[in-house]
Amino acid sequence: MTLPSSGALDFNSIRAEFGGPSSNVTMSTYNRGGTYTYAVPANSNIPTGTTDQIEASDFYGAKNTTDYLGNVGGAHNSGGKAPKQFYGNSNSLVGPLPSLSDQSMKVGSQSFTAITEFYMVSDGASGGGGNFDFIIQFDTSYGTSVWGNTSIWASRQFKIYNSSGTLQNTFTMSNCAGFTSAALIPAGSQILMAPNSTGKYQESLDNARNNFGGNPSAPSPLQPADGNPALGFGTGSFLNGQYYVQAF
Amino acid sequence: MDISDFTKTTRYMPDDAFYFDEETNETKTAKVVETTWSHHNEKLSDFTFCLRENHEDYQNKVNGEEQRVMEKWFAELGYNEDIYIIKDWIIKEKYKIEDEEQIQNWLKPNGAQVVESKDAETI
Repeated sequence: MTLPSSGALDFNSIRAEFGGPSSNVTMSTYNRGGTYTYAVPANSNIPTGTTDQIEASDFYGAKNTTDYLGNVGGAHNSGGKAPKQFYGNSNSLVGPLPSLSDQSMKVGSQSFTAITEFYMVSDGASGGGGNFDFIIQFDTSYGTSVWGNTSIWASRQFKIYNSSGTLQNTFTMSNCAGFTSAALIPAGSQILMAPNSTGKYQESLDNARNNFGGNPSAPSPLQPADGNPALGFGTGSFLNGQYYVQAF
Repeated sequence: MDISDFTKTTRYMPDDAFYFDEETNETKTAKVVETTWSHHNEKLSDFTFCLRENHEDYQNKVNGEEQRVMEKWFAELGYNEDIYIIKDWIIKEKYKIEDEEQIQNWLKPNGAQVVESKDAETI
């Protein structure tokens, strides 16, 4: 749902669409990039600066945040002799990272509403020391209903924007992510599917292509030459602060 | 410290809101629901949140606001967020070593998962 693109539009409707307090509401509450108005392309007409002129017509056709995941991430270093650097949000797996306040997003055409983990982890005192991993815990209740022969995950791009709406990075899942059928993933290797049947995606386990890509009899989509998961660059430090994720 | 001792109430706001239904391509009106969080510790502020009824992301947005209310109360209580963190309404030390993996990492930093063990003859 969006706000109307023309005709009657009042501040009460803007608040009812984006959410907000019932008193002490100022228009700057709804600047793009603020708590209630995500800095995503659909809201590009809405000013970002709190001193910019802002009016109701800026909100014609503006979209609420349903399809995007938007959170304020944190950073944590595990310390010790084999330190790991974490960036993002975690409800339970990484205690010192903040919890997710927004737990819903759309992946392709599928909506998820109970995402509990979204973080990246790498080796080294400041990250970038070697191994890298990216963990997303999607709704556990969906089970295998969104995996199978028509996977929504294969080569799925996750575009990550900052508080200004600038694209920070694009993460791409492997070209065989989510496929479960023995016809697509050789028998006995379905355990390699990512996300797994409990909804947990782990980049380092998204490797069916690595294991079976060399098999000349492997059917599509395992055939493409380069289908490994890929992050544009960096160690995930762009998840330390406000970020928005688009995957549709 | 557990700060989950609060009351959550809802009521309709007096004015309806406009929204655009993308399925029917019509502009419609809806009631606006105000949710109020009131902590039983009277020193903590009340917080409100308004959203139209039947919003497609209603529950997620209310949950998200509840998370922000929790963090505002955490700040009002004066905790240093460099030292403490709040999750599921429980305030605890941010870097407290609690789970078994953390304990093992600190007790045995070169454990088998980090450095593969070798038998004495190989060494």
